Amino acid sequence: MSLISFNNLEPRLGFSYLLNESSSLKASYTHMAQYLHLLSNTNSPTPLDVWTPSGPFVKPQLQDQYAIGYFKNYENYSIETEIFFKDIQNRIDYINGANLIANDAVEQIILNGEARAYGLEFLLRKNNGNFTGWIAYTWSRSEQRTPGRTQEESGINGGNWYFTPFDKTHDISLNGSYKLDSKWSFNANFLFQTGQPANYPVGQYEQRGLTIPIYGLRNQERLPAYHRLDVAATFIPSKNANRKKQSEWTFGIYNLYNRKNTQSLNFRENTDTGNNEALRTSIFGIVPSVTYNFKF
Amino acid sequence: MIQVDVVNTTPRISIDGHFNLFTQETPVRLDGGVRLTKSSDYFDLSVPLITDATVTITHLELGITYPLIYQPDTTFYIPENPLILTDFNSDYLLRIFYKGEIFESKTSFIPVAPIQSAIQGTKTFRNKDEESISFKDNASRDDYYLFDFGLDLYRSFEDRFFQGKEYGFSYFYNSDEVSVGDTITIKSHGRKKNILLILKTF
Repeated sequence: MSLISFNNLEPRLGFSYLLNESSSLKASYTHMAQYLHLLSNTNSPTPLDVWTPSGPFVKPQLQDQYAIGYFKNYENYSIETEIFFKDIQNRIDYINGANLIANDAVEQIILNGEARAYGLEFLLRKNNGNFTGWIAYTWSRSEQRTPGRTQEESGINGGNWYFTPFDKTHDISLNGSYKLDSKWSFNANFLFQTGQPANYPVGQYEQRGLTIPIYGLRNQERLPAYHRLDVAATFIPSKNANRKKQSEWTFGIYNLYNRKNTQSLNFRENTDTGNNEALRTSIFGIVPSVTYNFKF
Repeated sequence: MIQVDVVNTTPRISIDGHFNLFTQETPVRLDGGVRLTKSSDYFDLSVPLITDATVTITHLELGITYPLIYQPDTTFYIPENPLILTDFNSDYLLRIFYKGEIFESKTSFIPVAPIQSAIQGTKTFRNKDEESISFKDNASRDDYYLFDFGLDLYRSFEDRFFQGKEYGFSYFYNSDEVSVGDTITIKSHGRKKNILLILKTF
């Protein structure tokens, strides 16, 4: 016996129009249904993330995605641009104060809403020569709206649009490779991403001698921006003609300037001083590495 | 630990009102009162006290309003005479006037059976030390108890299964919460049913 059944068509359409030998226009439309929903109130993926299936109370998430792109090839360069828009129905979110872990009735702590994402992607790539690389930039917004079920229920953030935890307004990636000679090549990679939307406390009040934080509207603040620079040098020794093996050494430094990128921020009361403090969790600082590869 | 800029909201008033009356003591002793504070920025070291509000409590059966006076030593607003609060058959209206705004709340006092004994026991449970409590429930009413064991430790229950009977139970303290020579104050509070249900959800 099944509680409920869902049927959805998932059409995907793609068009490409060659303007001339070096440029083209592309457009696509995709309709997809997702029957498994992630419920998470943390900023980082954890083994305790809750996934809930679609059912009598949770409808499948339906997504329509539209994209238009322009592609141009030059002698040594190529440019790719794309504008996209996603419209998502039945996007769920948890209510304020919800306890997600080991909750056997998650339908009582979630609300149905909608989501949208839109943005512009730009990619400039140098494909030939000793120096190759790319510059990629994406400007995007990922937002959702979760109204209450009745006029009395305010929903989340008053039923207004707010950032999803996946919003990255600016996403910049620079990559460059330089081949010095047949033995040495160098590579650098830089990333910048707008910080993830998060909730910060906006005040504190006192009751019965206990200090209690006041949190503002959902996802109105952001974690600090993420950025890092990686560099690497690759050395290919001359191949010994008597051996089949071709070796390669790579000397790399991940996060060259030792940026303490924020994985999560915890706001808490220091049990020794009684003062509130913010605690940052960062995973990787500077990481030097030496890699030896060989092919045979 | 890092420096984080946080947005600050307009300060809000926080009203902490609780009156615990020890009616079997002579004279009747009042513990608590009304403490008024404002919310503050998250990283501020304290919250500001409100000492200039006008606070009154009205005995609604008699229609008499009494002022509550601010006590700088305890930071509570309390009545001059605690005996005005000992009528368990009347509702009381608490009213606070502050900067053109009025805050009101109505409730009645809930009696509670006195603790008959509180004895340090000899049992242990998961390395916790026993405290044995007993009291005699009042048969004429439904009671909802909130036991305050100090150190922000609470336990709540109702008298459904021991109506009018003597009841004893054990509470276990962690060894890092109390040590030899410490004095513990245990209080029993009467609560309304809806308050007890809220407390049970935490």
